[in-house]
Amino acid sequence: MKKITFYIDDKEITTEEGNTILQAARQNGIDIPHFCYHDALGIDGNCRVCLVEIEGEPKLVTGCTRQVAEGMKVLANSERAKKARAGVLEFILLNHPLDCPVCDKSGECVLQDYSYNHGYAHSRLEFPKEHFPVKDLGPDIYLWTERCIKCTRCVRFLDEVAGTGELGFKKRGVRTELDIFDGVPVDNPISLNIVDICPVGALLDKDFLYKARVWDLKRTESVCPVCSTGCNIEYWDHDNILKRITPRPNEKVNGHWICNEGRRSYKNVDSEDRLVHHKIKNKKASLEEAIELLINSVEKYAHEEGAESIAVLGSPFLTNEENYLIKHLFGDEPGARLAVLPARTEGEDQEFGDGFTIRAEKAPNVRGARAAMGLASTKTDEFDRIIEDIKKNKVKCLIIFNGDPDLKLDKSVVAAIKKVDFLAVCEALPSDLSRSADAVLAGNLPAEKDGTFTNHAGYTQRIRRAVFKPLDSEPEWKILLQIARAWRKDIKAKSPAVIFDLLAKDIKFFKDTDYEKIGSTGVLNKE
Amino acid sequence: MNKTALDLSSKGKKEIDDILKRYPDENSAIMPILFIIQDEKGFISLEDQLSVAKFLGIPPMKVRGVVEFYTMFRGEKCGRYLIQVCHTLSCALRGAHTIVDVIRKKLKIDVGETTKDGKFTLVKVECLGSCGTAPMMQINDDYYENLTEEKVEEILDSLD
Amino acid sequence: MAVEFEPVLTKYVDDPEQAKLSKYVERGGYKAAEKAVKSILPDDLISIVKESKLRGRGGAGFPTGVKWGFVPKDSDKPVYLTVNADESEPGTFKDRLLIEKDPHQLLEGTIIAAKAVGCETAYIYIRGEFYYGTKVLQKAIEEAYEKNYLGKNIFGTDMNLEVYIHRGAGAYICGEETALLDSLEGKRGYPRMKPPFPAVVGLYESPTVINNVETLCNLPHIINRGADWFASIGTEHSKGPKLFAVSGHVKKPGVYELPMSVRMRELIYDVCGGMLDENRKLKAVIPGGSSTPVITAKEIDVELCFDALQEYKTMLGSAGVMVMDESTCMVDAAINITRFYVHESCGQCTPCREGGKWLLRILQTIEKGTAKKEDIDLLLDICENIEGKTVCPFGEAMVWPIQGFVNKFRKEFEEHIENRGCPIEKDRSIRR
Repeated sequence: MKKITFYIDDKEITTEEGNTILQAARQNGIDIPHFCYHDALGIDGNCRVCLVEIEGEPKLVTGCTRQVAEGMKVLANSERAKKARAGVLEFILLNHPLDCPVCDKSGECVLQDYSYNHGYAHSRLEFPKEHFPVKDLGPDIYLWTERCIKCTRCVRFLDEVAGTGELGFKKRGVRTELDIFDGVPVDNPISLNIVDICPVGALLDKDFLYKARVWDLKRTESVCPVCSTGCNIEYWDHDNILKRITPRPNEKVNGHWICNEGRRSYKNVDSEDRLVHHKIKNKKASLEEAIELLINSVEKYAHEEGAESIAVLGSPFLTNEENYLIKHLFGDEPGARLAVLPARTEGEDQEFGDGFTIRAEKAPNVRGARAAMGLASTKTDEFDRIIEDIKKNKVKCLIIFNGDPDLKLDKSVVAAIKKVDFLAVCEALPSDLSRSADAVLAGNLPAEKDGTFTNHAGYTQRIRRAVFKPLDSEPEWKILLQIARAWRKDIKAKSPAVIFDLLAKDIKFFKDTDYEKIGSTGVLNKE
Repeated sequence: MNKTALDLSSKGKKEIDDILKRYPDENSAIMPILFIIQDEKGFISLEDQLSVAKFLGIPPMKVRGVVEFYTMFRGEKCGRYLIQVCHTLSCALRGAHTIVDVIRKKLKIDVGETTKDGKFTLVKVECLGSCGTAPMMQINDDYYENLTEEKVEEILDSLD
Repeated sequence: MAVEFEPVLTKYVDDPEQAKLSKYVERGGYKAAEKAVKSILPDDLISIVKESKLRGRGGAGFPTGVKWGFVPKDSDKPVYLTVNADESEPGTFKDRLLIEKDPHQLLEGTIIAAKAVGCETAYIYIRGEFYYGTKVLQKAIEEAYEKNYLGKNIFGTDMNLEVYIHRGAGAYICGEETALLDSLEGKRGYPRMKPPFPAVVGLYESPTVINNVETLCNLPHIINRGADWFASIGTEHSKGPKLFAVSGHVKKPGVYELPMSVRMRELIYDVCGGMLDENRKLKAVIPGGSSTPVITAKEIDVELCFDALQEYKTMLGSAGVMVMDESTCMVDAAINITRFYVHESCGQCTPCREGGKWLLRILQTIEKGTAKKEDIDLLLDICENIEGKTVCPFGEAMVWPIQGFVNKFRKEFEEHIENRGCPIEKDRSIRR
């Protein structure tokens, strides 16, 4: 790609030919104020906020539409550019209601920020503003129509990415009004992304409405735990209570989006059903007691029936570190049989306009779990064979590390599992299994731990702890380290980062990877 | 495209078949289709907008957006005779507002209203391209130019 | 004297038979189209039109031959021609005359243009209100198809040309060429960013030429009588016959065909019979449709061509001349025009959408007498924040009239504020 060198306010910038002034500026950390342009939705040129001056040209141009040229001198902060920008912001605020005190978007509102930095301090309007009603757009979204600045981002998203086109404009001119068609609400699997891309507080998530002020929330980078796309997300919590999830852009994984199901996946973290105590035979016990029972049982069956009578199941909902510890503790020695709990498949992969895909495989770490457990990537019948052997009474001691918050196994499989002599289950939310288990260890959900997931394409990405675990429960990696200590098996690691280093040395798939390399955007691992 | 979606006379449907042949992209037929529906039914209801959307295989809001953008498309019923008096500069200079007042007085309705018997609706419109024969008005499809107060009375009386 | 001019475009508009193909042919019609289609190469056609110096008659005045030259010759997409018959600029009614009275002249011009740019499908985008004109044009097109002047293998050559009518539905903005394209494609009439220009990426993403009705009507005459003949009419930069549509306070409003060397004074007093009411003096004239700034009674010696008017800080535009006598309040006039633009704004981009109504409200308070002194400069500041900042020239069209009225009649605006009411003796309010 040919490179062009040009200048923005005397700063020299080099960029690919074909890029616009705005694109080149953003790539170099310069924010020329803009609303309607979006990296994923392209150029529309309607808001006019990004007007800049080009030396030698009489007319101001929009930075979002103008391609760079060699030696071009862009004056983004000349008197003319600043006045034009302030003028356009004044026009946007003309009919925009002064709703900041009651608007959800306050604190993360681009209009607020730009007005503060580039606009006028007071309004010169002495007439009534245009008024429009608040609208219910469907199952998930409200529209505060008066706040809409008609940037068309939502319309373009629903047309081009979602492919459903539910939103459009009525009337024209100053009475242009965003709305849905009567009886045709905004209702598609990725609709809530329009709330993120709306630069103001016009489109609002019903789930988040009035819940919190964004400046009171802590943000934690992580990865969605629902399907094997592995959308990059941020958890937002207030005093350890999760309030919402928003997507993080990652070109290689999820673009700019997340599906509605993933967005809502934080809700189970505060469920009243959470397992908060460890149990032995349905009575509350300490973790030490439960671990002691588990180790003793394993040793007993290893001694009396042989290692083939013991099966330990990892999970595609647990991290690579956790699955690796399972392998290391139970698989290497005493040599128990290992398998990964199967992930549900729901329908088909759903691909959207720009390639964003909701995967049918509903677990975040299928590939990583298999690799970390040392299982071959292609054969997938270890679990089935173990179940067969349970039915044949060949497997008598079963330990399941279930990370799935909504485990749905076949009835016959559940019935078989319930019949084993010794059943220990570690999970965060109770499934059919823990109710009849001999030992229950209270585990954690991905929002509560550090670790890594590997998505369908092999991208290994970090999840980070956003909120603390409830009561006695612990993240599975801690439980496994404690099992190691109690079992006198020396693991030289006290944190997921170091466990990962051990994992990377041991498992070829994760070779030469570490947390630093993974960073915020992930590393591609291959077979 | 769902060919059976439109609720129209067979004449109208035939016309639409011909219209579709004119354009390489069938979305271009939206405006002519809306005219045909409006000519047949007097206005374009939400149901008809939905059926046009189904016919062309596009989201309904795209049809609604077109109906609401263009002033000649009506989403609601109006009087049998839609009286549109131009009040842009050239007509205003030649007495457009007097004409409006004459009509208001005669029909006993205000601008934007319809007579009780549903016969006349009065609206003010922008330049109709007849500035040389101002003041003037358009009733349904027909232009009436070089109006005087007397002529207006005559014209309205002549319409049954 | 310039006002005695042998009409070219409007020669036969008073003869109702002229709309019939048989009469049109009898008078030499379709010969130019036949010549162009059968024996003139497209590049030569473009050269001839360039030589004639024909400038677009829609309002922008862009050289027609040059515009045709932008169409890429090597495109694998079809080339489209759209005839802009969406005449909606207040004060303009000349295309309507040509459509209703001499439709075959337009069709012949369309054929010549189609040959020049390699087009096989042309759409005539005619404003929906011109119902009568649409019917006339439909009949003319049918007649032309019957005689094989349109359709497959026209004039017995291997050139095809389909011509379809597409009715607009009441949106002035669809007269802007890229908004016209969006409307033709079945969307809301939103203008597009330029570049890319329609000649390269236009209708259905294909190369498209958009020409005004009057522009195309000149083409048969240029072919028949030569580029030199055309260029001999008018002034140095404004050549060929021009239709002026005169309205307002004159005795004989109407369409007049004249060279662009005619002066405003001649047009008003010699051609149009002078002021409607002889007891009222001329006060102001809008020279080129509502979007052009007004000139005062002292400035009417100006030649009505593209260049001379620019020196008076206005332009020829669509040549829609609107004459106002002293009974007209300039603030009223500004309000009327601004109300038009606020009604017609498409709403796509911020400055025009939000600023227009603000301007209207301020003008209304000035008229009522409740404005402050500073509001006149506020008006001009808002205009400056809109001018040059919009997606399409509608922004300029909206603010130039206001700037024109304020700049040329500032005292009147100030008097409204000082007197807390209108200082003019007027018998009719024109603003409502």
